[in-house]
Parts: sequence; C-alpha cells; structure tokens
Amino acid sequence: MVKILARLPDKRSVVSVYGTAVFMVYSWTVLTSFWKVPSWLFFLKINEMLAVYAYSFLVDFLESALLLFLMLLIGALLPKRWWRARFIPNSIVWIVVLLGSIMLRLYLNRAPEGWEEFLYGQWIWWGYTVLLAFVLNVVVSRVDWLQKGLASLAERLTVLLYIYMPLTAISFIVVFVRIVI
Amino acid sequence: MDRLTRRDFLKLTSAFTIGTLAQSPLSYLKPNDDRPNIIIILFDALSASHMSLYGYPRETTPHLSRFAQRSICFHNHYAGGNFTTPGTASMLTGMYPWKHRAFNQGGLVKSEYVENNPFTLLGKDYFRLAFSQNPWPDRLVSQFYADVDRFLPATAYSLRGNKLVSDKVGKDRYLASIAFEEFLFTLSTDVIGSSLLGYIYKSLALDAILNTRDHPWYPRGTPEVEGFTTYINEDIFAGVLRELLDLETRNEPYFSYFHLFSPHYPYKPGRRFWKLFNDDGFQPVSKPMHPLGPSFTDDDLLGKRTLYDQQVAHVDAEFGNLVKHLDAEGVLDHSYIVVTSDHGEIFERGFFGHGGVFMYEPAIKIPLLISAPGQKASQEVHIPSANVDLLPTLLRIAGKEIPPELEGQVLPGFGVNEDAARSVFSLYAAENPVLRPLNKTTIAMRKEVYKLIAYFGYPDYDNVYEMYNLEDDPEEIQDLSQSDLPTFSRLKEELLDHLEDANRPYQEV
Repeated sequence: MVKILARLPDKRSVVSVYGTAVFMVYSWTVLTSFWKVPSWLFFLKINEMLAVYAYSFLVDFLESALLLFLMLLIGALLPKRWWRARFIPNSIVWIVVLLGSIMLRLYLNRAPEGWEEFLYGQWIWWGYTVLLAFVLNVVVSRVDWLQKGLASLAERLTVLLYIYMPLTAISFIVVFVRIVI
Repeated sequence: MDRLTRRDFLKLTSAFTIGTLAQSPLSYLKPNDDRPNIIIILFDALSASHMSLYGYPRETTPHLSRFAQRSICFHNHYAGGNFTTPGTASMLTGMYPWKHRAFNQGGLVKSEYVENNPFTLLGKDYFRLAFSQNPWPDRLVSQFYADVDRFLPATAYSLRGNKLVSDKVGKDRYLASIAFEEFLFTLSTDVIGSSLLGYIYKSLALDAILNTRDHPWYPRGTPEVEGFTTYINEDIFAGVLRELLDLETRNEPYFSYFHLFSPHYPYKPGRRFWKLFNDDGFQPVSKPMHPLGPSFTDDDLLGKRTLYDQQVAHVDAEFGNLVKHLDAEGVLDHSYIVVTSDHGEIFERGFFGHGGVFMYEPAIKIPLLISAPGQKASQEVHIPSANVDLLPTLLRIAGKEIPPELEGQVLPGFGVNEDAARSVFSLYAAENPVLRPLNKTTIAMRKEVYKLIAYFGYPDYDNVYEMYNLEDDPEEIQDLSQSDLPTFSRLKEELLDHLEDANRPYQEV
C-alpha cells in the first residue's frame, strides 16, 4: 500500500488534474443540455428538470473520477520521469485531447444518418487522437512555459470544484430519494 | 366493406341496440369468471383506413377480419391524437390530450391525473404486466411504475438485448428515461450529454444495432425502432405468447398491455410479404396538396403506402398466429382481448407518416376489436367512439368504479346505451407548451356523420376550418365549411366551447 501511495502524485496535483476533468465533463453536459431544455420546457416541471440534471451530474462525477483514476494508474505504472515528473501537464494533455476528440466526434456525427460514419471510422480517428496526444506530450515536455501555463490553468479550474462538487452531493441525495425512498 | 349510407347507419345503430340488449359481451362470462383476464394488444401506427377489415381494397388484414368474427368491431373509432404520446396517453388515462397534457413528443401525463390509468385503477385484484417496444409509451407507463407488477424493458425480445439504464432505476424510470435514453446515452438525436461513458455506450449500442440490420427473413432489412433497437416480429410475438402463457400459470386474473411497434415506420416487411400488392394496380384517390404539408408526389406516396400495407399484412399474419395459439391454450375462453392502435398513418396530400398537423381519417381512425371471453359471434358498432373510452370500459368489465374526471365513456355493448349524437375528439399540439393554453393546435371533432377539423396558430393558417360529411365523402375531399353553414356553425360552436373549457385552467399561467 505504501509502495502504491509512493507512486501517486501529490494532492495538489491530483486536485488540479481532477479540476480539469470536471471542467471538461460537466461543462459538456451543461452545454449539450441547452439543446434539450427547450423541449423539456414544453412538458417538464422545474423540479423534474432538476432531477434530470441530478442524474446527469452523477454520471459526470463517475466519468471525471474514471478519468482521474486512469491518469493515476498510468502514473503508477510508468517510470516517474515519463509521467509523474510532469503529472499535471501530461494528464491535462491527455484528458483534453481524449475528451476533445470524443466531443468533436459526437458533435460531427450527431444525426441518426451519421451512424455508419460514427462507427466505421473509429480506428483511424482514435489512432490520430493518440498520435496527437503523444506529439503534444513531447512538445509540452520540452517547452517549460507550456508546462507552467497548463499547471496554472489547471489550478484555476479547481475553482469549479467548489461549484460542481456540492451540486454532485445534492444530486446524490436527490437521486437516492427518488429511487429508494 | 361497402360504404355506409345514412340509412344503413341508422339501421345498424338501432340493430346494435337490440343486439346489445339481447346479449351483452359481459354475458359471455361464466358466473364464476367474475374477474376475467384483460389483454390489450396495441399495434403502433395501425390505421383503420388501411385494413381490409374496414373496407380497404387491399387484403391487408384477413386474420384480424377472422378475429372480428368473434369480437365487437368498432367501425368509427378514433385515437386521441395523431402520434404516439398523445394517442397512448389518451387511451391509458381515459382523457383527451387537452386534459392529460401529454401532447408533446415524449411528454408526460399531468401529475394530478397519473392515478387514472388501468394499472392503478384495476389495482391488486389483477396481476399487471406492461411491455412497450416504443420508448415513448414505455415512459408513460413508467409514470405508473408502482402499480405494474411485471414491467418488461422496451428492448425485451429485441435484437439489442436489455441494456437500458433507466430499466434499472425502479420507480423513477420515467425521469431516468429522459435523463439516460434521451439525453446522456441517447442514440438518435442531437449531441449526447455524457461524453466519456455516453460515447462508449453509443458505440456499443450502435454496433449491436448495425450488426443486426440484415436478416435473412427480411429482404428490406431488419425492422427497427429507429435509433433504439432492431427486432424480429416473429420474436416479439413469440415473446408476447410466452408472457401470456406464463401469466396463465398464475392463480389470479391478469391485465396485460402489449404495445407492439409494427407496423410503425420504417416499413420493413418480412420475406413472405415484401412483394405483396406490388403490381396490383391499386390507385388511391388523388387528393390536393395541403398548404401546411410537404410535397411528396402521388407516386412517392404510393410506393410508401405499399410498403406500409405489406407491413400491416405481416403484422396481421403474426397476430393470426398468436390468436391460434391462444385459442389452442384456452386463453380466449376466459380473457378479454382488446386489439387497437395509438394512431393511424397517412399517405396523401403530399404527406406520409403521422404526427404532422393532419387529422384526416387515415391519421386518426384506428381499429378497435374487443373479444369477450368465449365470444363466438361478431357484433358491429358504427357510432363514433374514441380510445379514451377504453379505460372506463375496462373498469366496467372489472367491476371497478369509474373516476368522474375521465372524459371517455363506457363503450356501447358493455351495459350502457350508446349515444349516437356524441362528439369525439382528436388533437395535435406537439408545438404547444403543456402549461399554456392550446394556441397552436389542430383539433378534429367527429360528430354524427360529420367531421370538423380546426387549425389554430399556424403561420398564415390560423383559425382555418374544414368540414366533411364522412357518409357521402369518406375521402374528405368536399369541404363543406362554406356550403353547409348551419351544420358548420353548430359544430364549430361546440368545438370552441370544448377548447375554451380545456384552456380555462391555463389562461392565467
């Protein structure tokens, strides 16, 4: 256990990376919900719409936690100089590229008629995505000001945790009440 | 079936009254069968205007015609709306869309009326099963979740398998279905709300659907609930039979509601039917384009119509097979079987499908057959009836109290005198917010032999009326709103009175 903990980055770095994941994941949900709100307004009451958001934030929490876990796992498995030495910039690059790629692909193939394209181009798309992430990783590892910039950006994004985490806690309660009680 | 004349109409009406008094379907019950099973089989988007049972020139429904020989057959039966949500909600609640308010795509029944549904009102005297292949009715029934004893997921017996998230959350299934199936993990519309997990889910689900899009029994591709799942009609009907035979093993009466997706678009008939009617020379009556409609040519529409008719024939054959098995198992001897639809399908005036602003007969006239336990003879009802009448009728059959707020009436033949002068309504208001008065809507009112259609709130098409005499003009071509002014004024006044009543609770919101 001690050995594993020793391979984890410091708490501040973890929070910074998590803040970035939360920013990306939660903001996407909030943004895409604007497509749906007009139709929900037709037939849902405010409390019902908030319940839909509660489900959404729980899924977002799961996703952001999963992303953080993935970054920590990579850090724990790879040699320190490859990842943990630059945990924040490396993780941010991967999170942003991975999620950005997903979001772009979802946006481009949002219509039902885009089904085939969505599925059949997957390997090439993800090949390019991984390549891009690697290239950016290399670039960031060699440019000091980029590393600092990303770390500074990540630190600022942690402020969103003060908004999204309480919302997530409330969402837990709302969903628990709706399903269990 | 030949066209009905006014004289026939009156004769049949009076003959039916006598027949009703002589032998009510309730009298088919044996004394110890005081709580018969009730089985509703609903075919989504099955238009009465496309059924040979109701006089359509193509032989689309021979098995349903045979089933009608042991049923009460309602010849002028109307859906509450012209697409799934309002049509189904009206049937389940016994109220018109202007009251239950589920008139938007995927909408919900107003909370104060949620208790008015067969699952809740039949209560624990019955074991209650629900299955809807279509996700919208599944959502509606989810509102009654606490009163459904066995609630199959919308993907049951389909080729995708049961992988719905909302199916796992229990009593909050209706809101969870909006959160998950419509937003976070949706396959069909807009951008999905969950980036990472949603993407993975979408990839896996679409892969499952696309891998099953070809099937040797279906030359035009596997039938599908668009953006949701693929399915084989044969599997679905086998599933229905399996569920019913399973219910038969219980020592209690049951109520089951099967909302089956076929013959809904996309039309993908099976191999036995895909060439049926192709070169039969049938030419539907050509009708003028509607100002509010798209403009498919008559040839386009005929091609689509033929596919739809093939699909109807396929569904009919599957139904015939189901009835044969139920009969062999003795299920028909102690069960009411209700066959109906939620709305129709239209192929005219430049438009095809359902859910547009059109309220012509093919879009809203639907089948209703009710076979009482052990019934061997047919009965026919020609006075207008509506699917809002189904709930009160079921409650009457089950000996339950009928809530006063229901707008439907017990159907003729179930211990009440029919009301030939009664008006029935059908409504489209998908673009109208539920908490606002109905300002953008199309309403059809059927009264006697007349039908009034009113359009409100459409750009350059506000306050427009059409009126038809369906006895003389069943194809709805001769608009009488300018020529038969006394009738038009009488009907218009009645419709506006109803609309005013319906809008009153929302005027100050």
